[in-house]
Amino acid sequence: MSQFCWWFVGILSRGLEPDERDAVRGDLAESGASGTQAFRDVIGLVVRRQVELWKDWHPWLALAGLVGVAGVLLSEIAFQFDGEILLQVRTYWRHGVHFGTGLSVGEDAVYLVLLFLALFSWSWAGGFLLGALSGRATWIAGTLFCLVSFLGNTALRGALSMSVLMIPFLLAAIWGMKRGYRMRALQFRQALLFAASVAILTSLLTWTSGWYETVRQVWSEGAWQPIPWPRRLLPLATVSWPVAYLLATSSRRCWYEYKGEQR
Amino acid sequence: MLGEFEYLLLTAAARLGDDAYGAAIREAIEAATGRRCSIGALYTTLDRLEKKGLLKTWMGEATSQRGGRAKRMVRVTAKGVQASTAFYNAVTRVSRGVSWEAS
Repeated sequence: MSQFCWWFVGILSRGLEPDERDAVRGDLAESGASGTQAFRDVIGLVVRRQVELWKDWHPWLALAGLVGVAGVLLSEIAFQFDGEILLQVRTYWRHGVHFGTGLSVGEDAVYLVLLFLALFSWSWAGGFLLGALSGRATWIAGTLFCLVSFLGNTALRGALSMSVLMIPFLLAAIWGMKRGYRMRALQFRQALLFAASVAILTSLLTWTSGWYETVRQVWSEGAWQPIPWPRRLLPLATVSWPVAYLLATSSRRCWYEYKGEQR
Repeated sequence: MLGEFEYLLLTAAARLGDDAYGAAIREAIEAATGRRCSIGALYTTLDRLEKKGLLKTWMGEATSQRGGRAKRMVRVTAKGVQASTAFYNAVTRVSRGVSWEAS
């Protein structure tokens, strides 16, 4: 029990600043605290530190904007992607043919590849911004972001097995969080390049998703009214907001550095 | 005006002088009050007092007794001495003529 408590103390103390972690673990060793006492002390300090962090507005922005808005949309889009991939794989596995969406294999592949790349980029950007805004509160906000984005929809719809397909996006989000926590902001050139890539991906996705609308209209002999492109673009643009935020913060930092150099 | 725990912490640190660091201050407070002093309360109060400029902290040397980990050393600043004196004087003044043992 005591060994387990010490192991848990080690995990918990990672939520503290490195210097503080060192001092606290040293104090506990010096005072000869038992595993249970150490656990109680460290959890008390970690909770107090977290409460202090959450008094700031940044983690709340991350929670509301990333978990609440981007996370929910990301979950919906990723779920659709997983559904389409599964449909194609299952049809090919059972019948050896491409599932008939009304488009050619190439067109379906282009759409799915674009969607995969966009989901990967959105997940990374969401993770990066979350890490940058939340700091040491990332492990709470980050866990919620991952749960909502990559597990929420599959759990709600009783398709937990589909979560396996979310692994690449989950890894992208964790990678982004680590980078965001360390770097806080991207270099201006990196941010510009990334924002341009995501904007191109988003535009291409809006365009290619229109192919399905046309096919449905033809199939239904005009009964199906195609969803206009602004309505198809809206959720994609909304889930991209972290990218815009990253570009804005990098531009601001670049501007201040430029002004500083001029002085 | 300081809080009770802030005063205890500053006084313990002042008494310990050059040997004032987390574990030693904690032990001194526990010995004086007879109550348990949590690490959470100690370290968050240290931060608060440092922000107010009442004490200064830095990372000290590591010892084998501490498993090779560094100490967080503490020194009370002039402003800290002033605040503690003001608190002590206030407690002394308000206690004048009161005998707690009698009541």
